[in-house]
Amino acid sequence: MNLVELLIMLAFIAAAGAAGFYASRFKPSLTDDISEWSIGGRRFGAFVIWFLIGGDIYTAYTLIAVPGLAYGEGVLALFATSYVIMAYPIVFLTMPRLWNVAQKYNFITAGDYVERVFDSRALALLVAVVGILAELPYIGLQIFGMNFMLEVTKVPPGIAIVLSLLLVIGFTVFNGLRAPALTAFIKDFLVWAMAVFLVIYIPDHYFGSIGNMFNWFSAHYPKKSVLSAGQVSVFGTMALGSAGALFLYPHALTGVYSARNSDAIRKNAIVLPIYNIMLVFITLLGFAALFIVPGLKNPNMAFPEMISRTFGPVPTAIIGSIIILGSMIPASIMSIASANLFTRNIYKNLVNGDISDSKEKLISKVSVAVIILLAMYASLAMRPSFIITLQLMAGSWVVQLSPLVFVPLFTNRVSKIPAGIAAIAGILVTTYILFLVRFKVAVYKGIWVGLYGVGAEIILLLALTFLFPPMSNISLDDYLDRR
Amino acid sequence: MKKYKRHHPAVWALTVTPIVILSFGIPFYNRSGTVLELDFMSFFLILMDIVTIVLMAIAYYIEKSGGGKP
Repeated sequence: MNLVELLIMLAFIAAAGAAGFYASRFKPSLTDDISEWSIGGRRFGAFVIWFLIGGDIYTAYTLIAVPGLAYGEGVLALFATSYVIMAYPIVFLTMPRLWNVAQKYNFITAGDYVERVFDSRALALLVAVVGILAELPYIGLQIFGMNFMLEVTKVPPGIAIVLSLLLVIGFTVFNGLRAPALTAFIKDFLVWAMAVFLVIYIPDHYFGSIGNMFNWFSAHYPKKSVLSAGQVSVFGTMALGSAGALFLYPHALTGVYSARNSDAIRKNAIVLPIYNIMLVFITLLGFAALFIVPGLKNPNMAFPEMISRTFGPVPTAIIGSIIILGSMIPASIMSIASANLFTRNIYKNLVNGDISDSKEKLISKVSVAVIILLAMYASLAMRPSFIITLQLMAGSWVVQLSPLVFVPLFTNRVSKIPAGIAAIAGILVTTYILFLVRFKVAVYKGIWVGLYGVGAEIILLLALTFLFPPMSNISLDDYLDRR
Repeated sequence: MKKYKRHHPAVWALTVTPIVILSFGIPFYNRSGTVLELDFMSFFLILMDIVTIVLMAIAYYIEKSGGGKP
């Protein structure tokens, strides 16, 4: 164990923890309402939302996995950039409308909305179960991100991971969404600074310029520098499907619900794509790693090994600390989102629907601790391939919630039976396709697995919708801005 | 002036455009070679990112000017 590296990491973790605990003074609660803890009292403006959503979408695992994919598969990794570009037009169309009804009816989760719009606790339960199943492995991946980075330092991974997650539990329980909202400022500033530095320094140091890096890459890895004929549909369907799924993840919706008004979300749909420029350059570092640390068996080690080989122990510890911060913030938001789903759409629906706000908050806070500890146990005790498989399944299930969340934003023609049958069929079809590929990959016959389920959903919605009367639980007027 | 309960048709067009280009235009932007020191696909994605920002800003202006009000 290297004491200097350990102290550097502890200093970063402590700073993030202190900011998280200080967050109670950041836009302090006005009431004891559950929404104050869960979604910051719906009082974050466009500026805070940019950091908050950026903080939970562009995570530490992104910084490790995307260059890793570029290292292993070449330009196919750019699908990640393509899908996040596509996600924001979807946000622009859907999320301001969802925010308007959420504010009117005091929704905190997607399950709340589904329960009201379809008058169905069962469908809300489905949304909650799928959402939590999606979040658990996602938190696990953040822990993997930390672990991969810590492997190239002389800091025992257990100490840094356990300490940082205990701090996350602490500040999240005390301050709710305000904690990651404030710490996201620090994390994003550091991640941006690190990314800009690495993208300028590494190509210049090893190749003389970024253009030379590409020339080297396409000369030595011609098959990785363009998509093969078989990869074109993989790239397109993975990008399209993932774009549709991104804002169905509970943590993304939690960020949206915390906005002060729908305009803050529209403005973010315009400016959040600025993050994607950083994502392109982070991806390109994977190409540089092919030169710097060739022949790695685990592509996820490409970024950490490249940093370690290039900079040595102390700078690697600093970059590792930034990666740890990049895991703490999403873990906090994801645990809040999962806890909200559990309390409001599982506990209240199945156990006791008549609980006070303070009891609801207490259950949510306990859930935060349980969820993070569960994810920590799973990611430290189970094989990475198992968690990645879970994440793979969850990602393709989440997009199947589209008929329940996206469709009613635009029409009241689809009622609960067609929407419910479509969503369940979509999940079953996707699971069957995943079974056909033995839960090992996300693609079947060149198409992202989730899109098979979406195809089934479209067919069923077309076949069943007009057999049932329209619903009238939420008027289309409620989706519009109030002036 | 006609009022839209969903979105103004121009807003739909502006938001769907980047999705269609990125999903179905892959054969166009999947090519080797460099532009401004970047490989073509990376360059194209950065370009599309900026185009998306501009299109969303125009869509925002249309919504704010009354295109989406009841």
